[in-house]
Amino acid sequence: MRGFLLRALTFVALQMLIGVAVWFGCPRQSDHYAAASIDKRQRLASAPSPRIVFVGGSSTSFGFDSRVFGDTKYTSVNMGHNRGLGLPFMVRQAAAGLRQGDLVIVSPEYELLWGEGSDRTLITHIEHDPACARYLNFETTQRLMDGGLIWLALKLRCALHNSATDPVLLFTRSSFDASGDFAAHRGKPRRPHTAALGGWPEADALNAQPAIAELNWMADRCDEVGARCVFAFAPLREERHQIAADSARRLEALIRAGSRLAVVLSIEDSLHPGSEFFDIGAHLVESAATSRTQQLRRVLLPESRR
Amino acid sequence: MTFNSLTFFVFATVVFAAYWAVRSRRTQNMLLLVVSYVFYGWWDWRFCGLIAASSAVDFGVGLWLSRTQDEQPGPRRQRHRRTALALSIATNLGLLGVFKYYNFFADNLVLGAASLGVSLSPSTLQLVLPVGISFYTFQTLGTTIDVYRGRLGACRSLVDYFAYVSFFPQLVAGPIERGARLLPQFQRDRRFDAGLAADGLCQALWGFVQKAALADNLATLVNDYYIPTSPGPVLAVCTVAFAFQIYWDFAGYSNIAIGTARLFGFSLSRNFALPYFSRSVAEFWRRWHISLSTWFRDYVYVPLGGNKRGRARQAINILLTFVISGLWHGAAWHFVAWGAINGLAAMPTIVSGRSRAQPVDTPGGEGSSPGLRGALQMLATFSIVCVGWVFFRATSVEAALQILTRIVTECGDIAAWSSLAAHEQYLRAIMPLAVLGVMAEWLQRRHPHVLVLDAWPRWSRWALYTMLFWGAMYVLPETPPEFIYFQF
Repeated sequence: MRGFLLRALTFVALQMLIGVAVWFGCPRQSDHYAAASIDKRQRLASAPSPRIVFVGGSSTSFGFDSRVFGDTKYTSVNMGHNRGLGLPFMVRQAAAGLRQGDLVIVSPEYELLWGEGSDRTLITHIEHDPACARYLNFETTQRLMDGGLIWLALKLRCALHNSATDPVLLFTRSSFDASGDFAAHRGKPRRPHTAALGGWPEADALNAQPAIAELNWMADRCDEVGARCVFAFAPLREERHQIAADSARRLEALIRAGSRLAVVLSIEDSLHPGSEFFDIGAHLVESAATSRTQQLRRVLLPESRR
Repeated sequence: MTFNSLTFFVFATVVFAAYWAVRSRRTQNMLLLVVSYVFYGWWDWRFCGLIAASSAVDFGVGLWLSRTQDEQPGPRRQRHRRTALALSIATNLGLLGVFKYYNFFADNLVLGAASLGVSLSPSTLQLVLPVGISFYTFQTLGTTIDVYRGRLGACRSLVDYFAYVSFFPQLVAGPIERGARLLPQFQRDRRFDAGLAADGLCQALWGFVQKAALADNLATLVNDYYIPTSPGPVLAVCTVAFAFQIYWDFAGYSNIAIGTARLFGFSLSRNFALPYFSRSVAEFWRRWHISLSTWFRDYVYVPLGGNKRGRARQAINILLTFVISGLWHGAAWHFVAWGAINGLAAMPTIVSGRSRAQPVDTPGGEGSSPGLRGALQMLATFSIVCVGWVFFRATSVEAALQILTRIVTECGDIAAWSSLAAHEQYLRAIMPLAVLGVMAEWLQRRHPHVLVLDAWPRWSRWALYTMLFWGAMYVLPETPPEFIYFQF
């Protein structure tokens, strides 16, 4: 037994040495987009109360303009970051920093209302901000552990080819402003693109139950701390809505019926022409984000006219 | 928690340390039982109830059968024993029936009634097929039948029996073990054998390479292009690719299972013995998924009468056995067709008695090359098996026929082969890997697995293991598919 263990441990140590070389052989970006997770978490922890907290993916960081709330008592914290993090992660990350009196707008991407996030995105985020692993739920942790070898494979390829593990490095950590809104695109021309119009499930096949359960979990946390939490549908291209109108109707009906978060921006409220999107994602241009946020302000704070 | 996951690496390491840290067999078995249920519950904890139910019934039936064995022979005793066996069969096949076959039979009942002008609307069930249910129900059922036949004594320890049924290395996709082979291993003390454990690790590594480097990369072509609308030459290439994908996927799984079991001092049966080096379809079936083929032989083919009632009846028995085996793989007509094709192809050799005359110990014969005749026989066998795979992989019999039609009609047209140009880069990358895999298996075909390299100095073995592991990691696809046999 001892001889076997000695040989096995020596062999494993050898492989781990190679693993370390692979790990450090892969170029690391200090300004990686995923590292913004640290800044957002710190802002949520340190921003003075009461706060208005936006929860969602990148459509949230693009789609709300915190400056609109600049003359109110609320300090704005935009937690919007990356759709791939998934709804369970997003709501847990936000819930961990909630305080009494906070006003929380949960606005996940549509895909997260019937599907999951991306394991690759989550792993990238954990690599750049290991502390954020605490926001994973059990199922996601299971999935990520099961897929851990893939990350090692990506690292190996990255080290051998001296390339980044995340080839889509359009955005960086410093792309956000002090409130957490995405700001790097402001004043820049739109990126020409062809919008992807597919991707919505048929109305009959829509299953929003897991997402509704997450929204209700968030509603419970909000009740516990005394925060006011609401739901806003994410920005949606009009042309996509035309194709998936039945599914959109059904999705909204499911959310309204199942979720205990009040819907403050309907799908109808969130429709925008393609010209109001910055790129292929659900990323509004600055002016559209401002007008959307003004609309939100009128709903949430009707007494404080601007 | 699949074998090719980081979770399993960690899980197996922790269990290995805990297992050998305890000395008593009872504690080891209890530990194996607990960790096996954790392993199984990792998919869905509710599945644990099913395997516990199946184990409990068969444990109880086994005890009952052994008690009645001591009773006075007579019709009453026989009736009791038959009732007990029927309970086991009803429980295990009932579980399979509900979770796997209910919708298939309900749909076909509706179709059949509609053809007679009767309208039926039985409700369908929205059930998830529990992983491994086809495997462990067959294992427990086989064990009970052996106790009934008096070939095996009933297991009297609940822990031993439950640990035997749920033993995590072979729980979800076999090998389907026989009670007579595996149960005694739970009932005797196990001593750590360094040679066995080291060989187990090598076998598991080779299984990992088969799955991660070979099967999963072949899957990327098959999953995207094995559809009836693809051009004939692409479909022909996809058929061959699928043949190797399913082999390396399942053989890889079995090698990891057998290798892992060896780490714990258990010996599982060989499940694949290089089936593509077979020279007849009958030989292929003695080398492919051996634990299932022998299960069907012993518990279906032989009880049907085997070869004892004349050649015509034997032919029918062979066909029936293969058809039922097809249905075991999936509740769909294309699986039934797959079984029937293989049954018809294996029938002449088996009925003529030639299958027993053919040597099976060393696949492809003892020589360094199979010779022209042997090579042609292997090629012919492989081609027939591939026709079967078309039905196995297709989503319906109609789709399979469309694929076969396209292959036959379009592959003769030289111009049609230009459709492969779109896949040139992929094929250039995958073909050397696949050829290396086949060559390694041919060269090492006298051994239970490829990495039996006792004559090599340690440093060169370690260099090879390191190269294989990191090589497999390098070519690992970003979204590797699950083991194919998990769906059964």
